[in-house]
Parts: sequence; C-alpha cells; structure tokens
Amino acid sequence: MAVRGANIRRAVTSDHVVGWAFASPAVLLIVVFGLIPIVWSALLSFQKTNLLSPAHWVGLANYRALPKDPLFEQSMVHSAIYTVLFVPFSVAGGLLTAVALNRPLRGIRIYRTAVFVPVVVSTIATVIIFLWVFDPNFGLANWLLGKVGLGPFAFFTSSNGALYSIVAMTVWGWIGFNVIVYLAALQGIPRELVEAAEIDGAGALGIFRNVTLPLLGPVTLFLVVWSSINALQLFDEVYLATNGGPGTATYVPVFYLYKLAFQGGIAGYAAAIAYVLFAVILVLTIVQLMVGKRMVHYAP
Amino acid sequence: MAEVRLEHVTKRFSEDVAALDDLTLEVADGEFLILVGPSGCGKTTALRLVAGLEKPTSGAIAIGGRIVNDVTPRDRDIAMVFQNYALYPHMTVHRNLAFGLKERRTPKPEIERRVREASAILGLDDLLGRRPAQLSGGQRQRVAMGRALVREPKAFLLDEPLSNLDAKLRVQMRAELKRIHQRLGITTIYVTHDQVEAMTLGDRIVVMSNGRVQQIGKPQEVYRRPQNLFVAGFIGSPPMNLLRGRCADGSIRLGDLDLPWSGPDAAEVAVGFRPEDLRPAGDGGPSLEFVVDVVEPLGNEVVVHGTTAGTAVESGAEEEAEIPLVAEGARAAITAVFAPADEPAPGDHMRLGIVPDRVHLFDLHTREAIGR
Ligand SMILES: Nc1ncnc2c1ncn2[C@@H]1O[C@H](COP(=O)(O)OP(=O)(O)OP(=O)(O)O)[C@@H](O)[C@H]1O
Ligand SMILES: [Mg+2]
Repeated sequence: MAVRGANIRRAVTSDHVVGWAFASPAVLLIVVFGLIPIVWSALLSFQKTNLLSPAHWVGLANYRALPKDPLFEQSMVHSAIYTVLFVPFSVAGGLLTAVALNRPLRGIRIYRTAVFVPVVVSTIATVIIFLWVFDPNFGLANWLLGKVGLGPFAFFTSSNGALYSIVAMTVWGWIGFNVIVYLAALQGIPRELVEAAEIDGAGALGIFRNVTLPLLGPVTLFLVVWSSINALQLFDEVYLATNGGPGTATYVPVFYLYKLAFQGGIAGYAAAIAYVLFAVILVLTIVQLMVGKRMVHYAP
Repeated sequence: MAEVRLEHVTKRFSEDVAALDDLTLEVADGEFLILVGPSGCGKTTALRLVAGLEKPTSGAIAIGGRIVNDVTPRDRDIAMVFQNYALYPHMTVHRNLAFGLKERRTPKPEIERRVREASAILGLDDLLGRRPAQLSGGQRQRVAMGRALVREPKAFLLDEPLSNLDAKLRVQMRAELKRIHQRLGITTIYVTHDQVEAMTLGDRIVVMSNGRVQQIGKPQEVYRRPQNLFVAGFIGSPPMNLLRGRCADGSIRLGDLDLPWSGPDAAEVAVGFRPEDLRPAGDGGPSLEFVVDVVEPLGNEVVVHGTTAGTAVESGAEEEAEIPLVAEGARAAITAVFAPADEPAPGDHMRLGIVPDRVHLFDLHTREAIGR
C-alpha cells in the first residue's frame, strides 16, 4: 500500500502532470474552437447537409462539383487579383511609410500613432468611413479626383471598380500593422552597419538597397506570408461594404461559402470550398517559405 | 594619404557637458597616433568627428589640408574599423571587402585585384566565400581590417579593434597591425584602452581625460615624463605610486624618506615613483620603510603590494571600482615590481631603495609636474 501511495504521489506531483494542468485551459480552447470545427468541417465536406435535417454521405461529389461552378471560379479569380494587389501594396507601402517615420522628426509619435489607428479601429467603422469617402456623388474621393480632372468614379457600386476599392480600403486599414512591425525591425538594425556603409561610400539609396532591405528580409517574409493568408481569407470588408456586389463582382471564397452555408443551406459544398481554400493557402505558404529561405538572410 | 588636423574642436551632446573640449591635434602624414584615456573621455567621439559621423559643435577638422566640416563621410575618403567590426552580416567576406569599392564605381578588375591583395596580406584567401557569422573573432577582425585596406584611403580610424579578442590573439594581431602600417604607411588614428597597445603601436600617444588632452608625446616620453598627475596615474601598469610629501630646506620628506631637493620650498607635493623603480634596499642610498601584504609572482617579475607610512594621492585616473588593498589610517598602499630572485613573503618588513632621479614631483594644487 505504501509503495502504491508513493507512486501515485509521484505521478501527481511530477512535472508532466503539473505542466498539463497549466496548459489545460489553452488546450481546451484550441480543441473546442479549433480542432473540433476542423474535423467536423472535413466530415461535412463529404456530406450533403443543410445543418438542420439529417446529413448523408456523398463521397467526393462536393469536390467534383467545384470545377464546374462558375461562381466558385469567379471567387477564386477575385481572390487572386485581390491578393496580388493587397500584399505588395500593404507590405511595400508599410516599408516606405516606416522608413519615412523612422527619423527624429518633431511630433513623430503623433504620426506613428496616426498610422496605427486604422488597425485598431473596427472593420465596421473603416467600412463606414470608406462608404462616405467613396460615395459616388458626395464622397471626398471623387471631389479630390475631380480637382485634378479625374472621375467621377462609382467605386463600390461599379462592377469594374468595386474589387479595387476594397483593395484600397483594406490596404488603408492594414498598412499600420506593417508599419509598426517594420519600425520595430528598423530600430533593430545596428547603427554602425549604416555608418559603415556611409563611410564605405554608399549613398542613401545604396544603403537602403544593400544594407537596410536585406536586413529586413526576415520581417518582410513574415509580413508577406501573414498578409497573403489574411488576403485569401478576406470576408468582413466584402460582407460590409459590397455584400459581394454589384452582382457578383466582389465574390471571394469565404464570402461565397458563407452565402452557401448560412443562406443557401448547402453546408457540405461550402465545407469543400473551405478545404480547397485551406489547401491553396497551405501550398502558397510553403512555396513562399521555400523561396524566402533562399532569399532571406537570418542574422546570427 | 594625408595628414589630419583638429583645431579647437568641441563637441557637446547636451548643454552642460562637453564630450570633447577644445581638442587640438595634428596627425602627420603616415603617422600612427594613439588615443588613450579612461572610458567616456571622448575617444570614440573624436574618431567619429574625423569620420564625419558626428558634427563638431565648434572648431575645424581638416584632412589632407582641406577643411572637411561640411563634407559627408562618403566624401572624406577615410576608412574606419568599428569596435564591434560592423561587418555586413548578409554578405560574404568577398562582398564585404568589395562593397566600398563597388559603391565608388571602381572598375571590376581593379576591385578583384585589391580584394586579392588585401586577402593575401591578411590571410583571408580561404574565407572569401563565408559569411561573418561563420568566422571566429580574430577572422572577423581581419575582415574588418581588410574592408579598410582595400579602400586605400587617406586615413585609417581604428576604434579599439583588438578589444574583443582573447589575450593571445591580441598579441598576434598587434604585431600584424604594426606590420601592415610599416608596409603601407597610411595615416592612422588608433583608439585603445590597452596600455601595451598604447606603448608599442604608436609613433605618438595622446592621453585624454574628460574630453581634454592631458599630454601628447612619444610613448617613452609620456611614460618617463608625465606632465601631470592624471597622466602619471594613467600610463603604466601597475600604476605609479603617488604619496604626499613636503619640500623644505633642501630635501623632500615623505615618511622616513629623505631625498635631496634643490628647488624652492613648496609646502606640499605629490611624490611619484614607478613600481619597477623600487628595489629591496641595499646599503646606503635613500630608502622607504615597507610592509609586504600581497605577493604576485608573474614568472618574469614579482608584483608586491604593501604599505608604507604616509598618505596616498589620487591621480584621478583610478578605476572607479578600485578597492584599496590596505586602508589603515596613516599608511598608504604602494606597489613594487621585483626581480623573481627578490620575492618576499607576506608580512615581511623591509626597506625599499629609491633612485632619486626616478622620482616624479607634482604640484598638489595645479596637479602639474614640477621640474627639477
Ligand atoms: N550620441 C551621444 N549622445 C549623448 N552623449 C554621448 C553620445 N555619444 C557619446 N556621448 C557621451 O560623450 C562622452 C564621450 O563618449 P565616447 O564614446 O567618446 O567615450 P570613449 O572615450 O570612446 O569611451 P569608451 O572607452 O567607453 O568607448 C561620454 O560621456 C558619453 O556619454
Ligand atoms: Mg569608445
């Protein structure tokens, strides 16, 4: 008996048990809100179901139907256009803004704060602001463009321009995050390296190209991967600003599957879209990391 | 190659303190000049001003006869080796060396020639394809030197380039630096903390304290004839012993020591003698009573710490954290360096002989040396 008691005590007080005890709240959250939905939607994607009445298995039928769905194809194309524009503009724009703000100007803190404000402003507020700014008749954007002899543009209400208007709005909303990350990274670049390059005879552009930019490589890779993932998961802004319209001009995969699952009652098919999107994101991320690994130098 | 001149250069980072205070300095063409001084005395600031990384608050800086106050670092044509090397971490050794030439639009074959030449001088041939992270400390130091060498600049500025190396590598690199300078004869300003580097490397040394020059001269001259108490206390290791003495009636009296004195009566002076000028007293001659406290045999010599009757004088060059070995009321700590054969034992009572010529005297108020 004494031996068994000691064993139990040892088991209960071992690091192992204590460790799991501390981790359990986080583990529980991840399982309930992460793991279970992932597995559940995987199962859904092989079923025909509207989430209310009993489901039945359909094998790969949902996946087979995807290539023949013009709306799905449209969503993917929109998503690709959006990502190809959003990622470079928000990352490069973030970098240039950060470089501009990385100097001892008077009131620099105010500028830095101003740049970050859109990030913490809720999406709904951002959208309301942009619905104003991009209002075809009374908006600030058309008024300003009119001054230089352009426009007027229909922005969100134009089937050609709506997607680009969403790009502009989301870049504005996201750029502050990239600026802050780049600012932190810029502060981490050793001053002597820049000074050494100055003494070596490099001009401002030479220093930026040969010293600053390479040393920002790891951060740039992170931001490209991170904003690509976010871009492919675009939903809120579309839902709030255009509701996919005009027509289907701003349909993107997450918006489309939301429509299918929660308004069309076609949850199985929607889950299949979610899984295809997941695969796309996974492959893109792996490719980016592999290419990045060759281009990016990590400081020791 | 060119001479470098600083004329009445003052640099203030804030209103109240000057990092450099009215510094005037002339480095001759091809000279190897050493800047020494305690931490924070303005050595790095002086180099950065010459490099153009910092602007003087007042005064003029000239390189090769041209005032360069308003010239950018890029156009001053100097090379600098930073204390932590500042190698470009993402470039290979070859690109590190070539970068400055490339940015100055040197023709490719010329770049290649100079990189080969510098890497041969510094033994970097096998390392050209590596990144700085893949190099040892000594190798990085050589790459940093190489980056300066390939430029063939008007002047070299070196900021404690050996301070990150271990003792053995330091000795080796010190010799290498001297060899390179003898071979190329490029004007060099070299900042160091290290006594040995200061004494052995330079044509002249500049001793600085609190942004001011204390003394400029040939190393031996500064060692033999320190101009003030600070230099006396700073140059030499172990440092000069400094004790309070009294000059009157044709003699300098200090404890039971009596030295001949021919100058005018001066109430109180600081009497200095270097540890290696003290010997166990033979017969006759002036001598000083001494109680041995700690003995440090170094092989080729023995450092002996102990006390004598008297009062120590502070030179102002002591390290802040220095703990007096013995601090009893009327006794002062002094240090002597003996030959190994004379090694005493702790607790020994003995007399130390002093050669009168080797004694330094300083005015206690002006802190300047008193000539004899
Ligand atoms: N950028 C700066 N801003 C404010 N004060 C500075 C700056 N750079 C140097 N100082 C001050 O100027 C003085 C001289 O500094 P400097 O770096 O030249 O000393 P140093 O002799 O090189 O010291 P060390 O041997 O520790 O390297 C110091 O008191 C330092 O605090
Ligand atoms: Mg320094």
